[in-house]
Amino acid sequence: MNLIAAVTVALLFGSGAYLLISRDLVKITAGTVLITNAAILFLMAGGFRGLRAPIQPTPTPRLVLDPVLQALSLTAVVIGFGITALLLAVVASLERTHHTLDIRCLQESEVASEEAEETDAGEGEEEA
Amino acid sequence: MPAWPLAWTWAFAVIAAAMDGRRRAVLWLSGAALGVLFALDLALIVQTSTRGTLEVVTGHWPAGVGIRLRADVMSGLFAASSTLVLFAALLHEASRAALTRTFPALVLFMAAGLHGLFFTGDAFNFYVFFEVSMTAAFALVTHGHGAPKLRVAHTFIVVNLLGSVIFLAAVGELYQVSGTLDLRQIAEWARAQPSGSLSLLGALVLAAFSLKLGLFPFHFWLPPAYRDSRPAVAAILAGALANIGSYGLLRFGADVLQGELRAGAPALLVIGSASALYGAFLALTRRGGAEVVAYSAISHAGYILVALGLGRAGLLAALLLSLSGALDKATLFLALESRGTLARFAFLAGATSAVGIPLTVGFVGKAALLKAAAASAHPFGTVAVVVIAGVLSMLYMYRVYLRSETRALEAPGPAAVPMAALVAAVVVGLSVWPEPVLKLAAQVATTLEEGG
Repeated sequence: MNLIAAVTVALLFGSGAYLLISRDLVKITAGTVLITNAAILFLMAGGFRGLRAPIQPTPTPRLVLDPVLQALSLTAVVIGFGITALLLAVVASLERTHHTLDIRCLQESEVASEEAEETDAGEGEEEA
Repeated sequence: MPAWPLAWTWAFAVIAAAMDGRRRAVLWLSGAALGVLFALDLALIVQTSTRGTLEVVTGHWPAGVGIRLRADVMSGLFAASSTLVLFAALLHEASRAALTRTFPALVLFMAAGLHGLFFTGDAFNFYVFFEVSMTAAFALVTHGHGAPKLRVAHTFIVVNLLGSVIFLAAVGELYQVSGTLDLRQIAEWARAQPSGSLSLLGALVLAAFSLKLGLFPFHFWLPPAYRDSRPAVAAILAGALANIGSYGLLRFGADVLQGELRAGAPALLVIGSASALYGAFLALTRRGGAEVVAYSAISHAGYILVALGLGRAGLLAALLLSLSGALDKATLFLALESRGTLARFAFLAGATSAVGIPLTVGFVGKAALLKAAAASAHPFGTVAVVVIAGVLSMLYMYRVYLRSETRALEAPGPAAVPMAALVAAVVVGLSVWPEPVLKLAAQVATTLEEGG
């Protein structure tokens, strides 16, 4: 069981890290989701003493999952969910203003809009 | 009672979240809530310094089942300074620009998250409150500016999320090896372990908090985030959120995992020195005021780590430097955006404090650091690093000051409510009359030493 959990955590983390270095904002966000879930699975895997649900009356406490770690994982899942939603909101609003999700295109678009702002400001000063 | 400030802020944050933050009444309500919170923090500092650590188990559960809140002088000091910065940033932003619907509520949620983090006695709760304040910060970074800067916000969120994930893994591991989540019990357990056996845990915790503090190898997200957010938000990030990093290093390093801090001292000294010098050199090459202050924050984070690497003698310096660094960075960011004589004096006070010249609180911290460095086993290298970084900081701060002065003379814009001057007054006041803070900080340092 520990081996399966370890391999899964490694796979999730590796795929997440791979997605993080891509140039697409949605892929980067997906990468953070995978890495968060790798950490949550790592947290839960610490409680895999046995595979029974920790519901009273328990047969022997040694053979059930650790309920504390389950509670912690649940909290971490909720937090991860909230932050992912926030990240996706940022991505959506970037898409709306720049019409692209590629980091390189975004950089170009930002430079262009900054230059436009600067020329506007320069003209404003001349008028004043 | 450590529960009062937390419950108070949380209640007001929820109320403010339901109301429209663009209305003046909500602003005054939030400002008043933060003002009362500051008074509660001060009362808590007085209480903890006379009666020792205060503890309360939430919901009257038996100890070990319920969540424990614990306040000592250190958490009180961090809480009070963060509240002051948040209060100043909120009123500053209100005087400069139209507030958005959520701004006051986000500032209050940040205050609530920070107070939970400073006052918790439970490792997992530390993570939860850490995430509450981080989420508020994520939302604040996207506040105010136009859409072009959102890419920086995206990077800020992704990088800091990774830091939180590292910390979550560390908390999970702490629970698995020690069998408890209570910080004091973990500390007792860790003291019984052979020194160096928890080095993986120590490294994870160090990486997580270094990332929040913006130390050298983990710093790359920090300058763009500080530069591209509104100055009030930058002040909140540098003056309140960065406290998570320094408080976390002090709480988990100097308190809970003392053996690991001692074992890792050479690494701390190397990373700290690298960060102090790197930040100072890079600050010299930058032209924008906000960017210079951001690199100066990286340099200052290096001092804190060097102080922690100096062992027991450095604890007092680490605490004083954390507090002074947060206050003077907040002053600088707020003053950079303001105009007029008062704002210029505020900038001068913040800059002198960042350099560490007498009559500002930065000097008190710098003096403690130099004293600890001189008394350490290898005084030469550490003292040299601190002095070189200090001289460089004088150069770049002077350059920013000159530039801001000419700009202020050319364009004497509307005089805003000088909230920068309020923080600057505290920065100077704490140095003119440093006895109370020095006494409290010394008390914290002795408590931390006695624990080990």
